[in-house]
Amino acid sequence: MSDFPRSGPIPPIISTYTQNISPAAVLRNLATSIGPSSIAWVANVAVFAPMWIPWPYPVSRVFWGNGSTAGGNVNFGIFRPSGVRVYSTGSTAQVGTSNIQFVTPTPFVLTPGTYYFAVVADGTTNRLQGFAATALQSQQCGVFQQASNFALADPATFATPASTVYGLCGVTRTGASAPF
Amino acid sequence: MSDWPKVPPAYTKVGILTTSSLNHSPAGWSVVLGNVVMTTSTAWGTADVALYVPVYLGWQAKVYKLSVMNGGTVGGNTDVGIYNERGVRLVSSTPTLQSGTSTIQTFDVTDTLLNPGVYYLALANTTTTGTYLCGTTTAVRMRSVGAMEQTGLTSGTLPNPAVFATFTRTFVPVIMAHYSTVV
Repeated sequence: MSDFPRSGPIPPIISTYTQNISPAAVLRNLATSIGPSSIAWVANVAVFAPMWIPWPYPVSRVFWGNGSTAGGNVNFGIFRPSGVRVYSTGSTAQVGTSNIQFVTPTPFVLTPGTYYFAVVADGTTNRLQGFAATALQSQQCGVFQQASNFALADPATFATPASTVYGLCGVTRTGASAPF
Repeated sequence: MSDWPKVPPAYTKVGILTTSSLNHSPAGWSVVLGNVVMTTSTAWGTADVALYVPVYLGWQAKVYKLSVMNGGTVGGNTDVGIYNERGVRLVSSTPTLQSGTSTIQTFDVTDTLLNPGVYYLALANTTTTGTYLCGTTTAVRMRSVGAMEQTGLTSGTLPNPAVFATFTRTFVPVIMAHYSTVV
């Protein structure tokens, strides 16, 4: 048996900004600062960020970052590269500003592989935390979008990014006892 | 069968374990994404608060010393330590007079073997005025990488166990654990 570990520890929290498994490094290389900061969203545009998950990841909570203005609704989802939806929160009213908002699903496990983390808001001004990435920057990161898709339809129809939004969202393997 | 892993393990034992690492520390990584550096002398702000910054270790390693980077003003006592993911304190310096401005302050601690896993590097100070070199950030960014805090410490002592609470600060300090007795 190997004396070497097969993989590193499983992070308690992973997101569209996590090193090695999200496009954040590429995005940062294309822009001076990528936040996340409070940004304007384009209503009902779903943004799909490619994620590489090398471990079986037990999902206890999912989250996104609310911007400095709340009052709308958000939907977070996880999709396979085929566009098949693995999970979505459904429409969820925003609670709190400039903070992380968690949703607790029935626990499930993401098997190792490629996924797309998706987030969409039905509001605009300062709705979410993220980065106002240009379409070209998003294209260079493998990000997709789907307009008029607040419901995060199953399957997704991935399209070339056209809107300047890249959202902070992710999952945790910890429950509420880890009050991030 | 090969002794080499099929997938190279992440979070390798390179250099030291530090919150400013782009490899081990999601907080250090986050600071870079925000285009700031962790060299800003920053007042602790709240006496007897501990900050817990997550780091990931993919290999077994023994820690011999802990360090912080003092800023332009020193004050009170520093306690620096390592916790496991359950909040158990594995090792700490105990509160020690913060000494030396704009320089590294190193604490010889009990040699501590760390297995691969998730740990928290922790730092506390007994004053509001003591400064450390930090990265300027936002509470949201630090929450999204799993940093936490705890207020109301007794005489600045890192507690055992920690009682993790939501991170509310806008800075993240440089905290280091050394795999060598030489710093």
